[in-house]
Amino acid sequence: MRDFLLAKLGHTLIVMFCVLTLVFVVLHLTGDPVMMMLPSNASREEIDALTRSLGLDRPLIVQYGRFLARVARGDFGVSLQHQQPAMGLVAERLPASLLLAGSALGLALVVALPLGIFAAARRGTVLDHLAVGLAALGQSAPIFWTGLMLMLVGAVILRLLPTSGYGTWQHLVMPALTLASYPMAAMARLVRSGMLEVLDADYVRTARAKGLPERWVVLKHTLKNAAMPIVTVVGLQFGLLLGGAIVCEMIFAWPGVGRLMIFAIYNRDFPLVEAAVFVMALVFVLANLLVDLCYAWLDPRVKLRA
Amino acid sequence: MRRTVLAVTLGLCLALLAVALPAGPAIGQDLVIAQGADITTLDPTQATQIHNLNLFYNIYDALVTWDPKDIGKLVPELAVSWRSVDPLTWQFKLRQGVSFHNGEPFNADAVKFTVDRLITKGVHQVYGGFSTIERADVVDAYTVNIVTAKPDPILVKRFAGYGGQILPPQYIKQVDWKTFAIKPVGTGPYKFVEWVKDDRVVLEANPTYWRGAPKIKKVVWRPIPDNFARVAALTRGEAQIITKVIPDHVSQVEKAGCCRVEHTLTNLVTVYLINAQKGPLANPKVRQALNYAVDKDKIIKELYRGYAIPIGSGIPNTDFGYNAKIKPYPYDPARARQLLTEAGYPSGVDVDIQSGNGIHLNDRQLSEAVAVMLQDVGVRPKVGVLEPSQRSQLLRTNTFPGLLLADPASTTYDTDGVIWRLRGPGGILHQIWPGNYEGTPFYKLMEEARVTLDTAKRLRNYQEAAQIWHDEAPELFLFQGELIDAARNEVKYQARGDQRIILYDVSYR
Repeated sequence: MRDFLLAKLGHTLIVMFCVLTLVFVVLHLTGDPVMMMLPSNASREEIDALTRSLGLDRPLIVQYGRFLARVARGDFGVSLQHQQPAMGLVAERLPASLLLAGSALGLALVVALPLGIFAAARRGTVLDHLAVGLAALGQSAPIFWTGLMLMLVGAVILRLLPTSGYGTWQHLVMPALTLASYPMAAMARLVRSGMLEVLDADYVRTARAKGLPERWVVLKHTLKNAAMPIVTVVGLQFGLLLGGAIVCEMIFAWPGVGRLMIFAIYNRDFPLVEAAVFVMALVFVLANLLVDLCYAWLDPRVKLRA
Repeated sequence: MRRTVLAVTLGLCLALLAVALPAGPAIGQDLVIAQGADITTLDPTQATQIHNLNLFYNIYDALVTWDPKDIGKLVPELAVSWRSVDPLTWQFKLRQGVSFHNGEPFNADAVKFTVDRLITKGVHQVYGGFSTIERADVVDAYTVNIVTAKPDPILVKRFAGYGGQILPPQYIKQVDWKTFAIKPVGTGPYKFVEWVKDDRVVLEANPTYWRGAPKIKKVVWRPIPDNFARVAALTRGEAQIITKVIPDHVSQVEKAGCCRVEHTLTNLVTVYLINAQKGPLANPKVRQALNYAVDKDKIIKELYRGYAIPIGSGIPNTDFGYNAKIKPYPYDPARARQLLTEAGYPSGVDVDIQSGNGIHLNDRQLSEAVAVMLQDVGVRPKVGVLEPSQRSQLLRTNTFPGLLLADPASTTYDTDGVIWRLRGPGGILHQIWPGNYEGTPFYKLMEEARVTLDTAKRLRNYQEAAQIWHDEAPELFLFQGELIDAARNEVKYQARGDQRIILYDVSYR
C-alpha cells in the first residue's frame, strides 16, 4: 500500500510537470497579455514599458526557467489582470466549483443508479425503452441549451428559482441539474449494460436457484459486481465536471474556477491560467487515485502494488 | 470500516455545503446592477474596460467630468476652475472642504500624488493618456499647476477619462497598492463595502458627499456573463439595471412589461482597419471600392436592428473635429467594380477579412455579411476568426493581412484620441497606412493640431484631415454604434453617451 502510494505520488509529479510545461508553452506562443491589459489605443512606448516590467521581453527559455523555479517554491505569481496572487484567486473560487461538481455528480448518481438498475431488471419492456430514450436525450442535448431551457422554464416562466448567481440552495438547483444531465445519462446507460452482463453470470443463476428474492439478487449479488466500470466513470466524470463546468458557470453566473480560467485565457493572464490548470489537473489526478483505491475496496482480488 | 468511510465522506460533503453557501445579500429598496463581467481591480490606474470604470466613477471623483447632457463638454468636479497660465502650464483651483471616505482631506498634495503615479511608466495601464505631462507643482493647498513637455490643448479633457480619479496619498502609503486595489478609498458618492469575486461588489452611499448624500443607499454590482441570463435577471426583478443588451433581446425586454431599454449613441466607431502597406490594398481605388461595395444601411438594419448610424470617416459625431459635410460612402456595387477595373484588377482581388467571435457585437456575422457583399463586386474574400489575444498580437505587430475589425474610440472625445493616438508616430497602427507617415499632408495636419492651443485652427486641421481620411479610405467605414442598457420601470435611469453608469443620478420613481 505504501509503495503504491509512493509510486502514485511519483506519477502525479510527472503528470503535473508535463501539464504545466504544456500550458506554459501553449500560452506563451499564442498570445500576448500586454495588449489585453492596455487600452486599445496604447502607444508603442507604453506597450514596451509594460512588457519589460512584466519580464516578458526575456527569451522564452529564461521565462520558463523562472516559472519552474517559482512553481517549485509553490509560488504561482501575481495575476496580471487582478494584481493579486494567482493561487489565492483560484483557491477563493474552488469551494464553489467543488460544490457544483459534487452536487452534479451526486445528483447524477442518485438518478442514474436506480434508473439503470430498473431498466436492466425490466429489460425489453416499455419502461426500459423509455429509460434508454431519456438517457440518449440527456447525453445528446448540449449543456448551454439545457441550461437556458431550465432558466427559461424554472426562473422566467414558473418563477420558482433565481435566474443566476450564488448564495443559497435555490441558486444551486439549476446549475447542478444542467451539469448533471450528461453524466446522469452516461451513467444510467453504463449501469444498465453492466447489470445486464452480470445478470447472466453463473453466480447470479446460483443465487436465484438458492431461492433468494429477486430484489436481493439484483442489489447484493449483481450491483456490486457491476460497480467497477461505474466507479471508473464516476472518478473521471468528477474531473470532467470540474473543468467542464465552464459553460454552466457562464450561463448561471456561478463564481467557479472555470469562469475565472476562461477570462484568464482570453486575457492571456499567464500566472492565473497556470494556477487554475494546476489545481484542476491535481483534482483530476486525485480523483483517479481515489478510483484506484475504490477498486481494491470493491474487489478483494485487486492488489495495490507499485 | 466501510461505514466509517461513508460517514466521513458524507460529513465532508455537508461541511463543504456549509462553507460554500453563505447567506445572500438582502436587497429591498437597494439597487442591483448586472454587468457582463466581474471587475478585476478597484485601483483606477489598473483597468480601462467600462465594467471596471463604472465602479471607479462612483467610488472616486476626478478633477473634471463630462456634462451628462453634452458629453465632450467639461464640467467641474474636484477642480472648481482651470486656466492655461502659459502654453506649457495648466492651473487648477481645487474644491475645499472635501475629504476621502477614510477622513483624509482632499487637497493639492492628493492631486500631485495622483499625477506622479499617472506619469510613472510600466507600472499601470493608463500611462498613455497622460504621457504629455512632465510634472505637477503644488502652488498652495488648493492650487496645482500641471506642466506639460509640449503645449497640450486637451490636457484638461484627459482628466475626465480613465485614470483621472484622484487617489488618497496617506491611505495608500499606509496600506499598499495591492490592498488599495481590493479595499479602495475615494472621495466619490459611494463607499466601498465588499467585493465577493465573480459574485458581487457592494457599495453604500457616502452621507457626507460634497454634492449631498446620494438617493439610493446601497448598490450591488453583479457580473452575469450570459446575455440571456442578464435579461432574465432584469425581468425577474433580480436586477434593476442591466448593461449590454444585444439588439436581438430588445423585444424580449419590451414585451415583459416591467422594463424598458435605454439606448444612446456612443463614440465607438466600428470599422475594418486596412493593412495598406503593400499589394492591391495599397491602392486607394481598391480601398474606395471596398467602401462602395458594402451596404451599411442593410447591415445596420439586419444585424444591429437599427441601433447604429453609418459613417463616412473614422471620426464619430460626438468628437471634436467631426466634419458634418462628409457623408458615408453610398452603396454602389457598379462603382466598386469600375474602381477595381481602374485600379488594374478587372478580374477581382483576394482580401482577408478577420474578426473575433464575440469580441465585438455580432462580429463573425458581420464579417460573413461583408464577405458576401464584397464577393458581389468581384473580390475574393477569405474570412478568418481570431481569438482575442491573437487579434491583439496581430494589431501590435501590424502584421494582419487585409481587413481587421476594430472599434476605436477617444476617451477625450477628440480626433487626436480616435485617430492620431493610434496612427501617429509611436501609435500602434502607425505602420499600416503610408498616408500617415512623416512628410504627408495628413501627418502635418494632425501633428500641428496636437500641439496648438488655438481651438479654431485645431478644428480646421481636423476637418481637413477627415476629408483626406474619407477620400483615401485607409479603413472600411461601417457605423457608429449605440449602447443599449435596460432598466426596470420603477427606476429613473438614462443611458449616457460615455457609457458610464453614474449612480448619483439614479433613483426610484
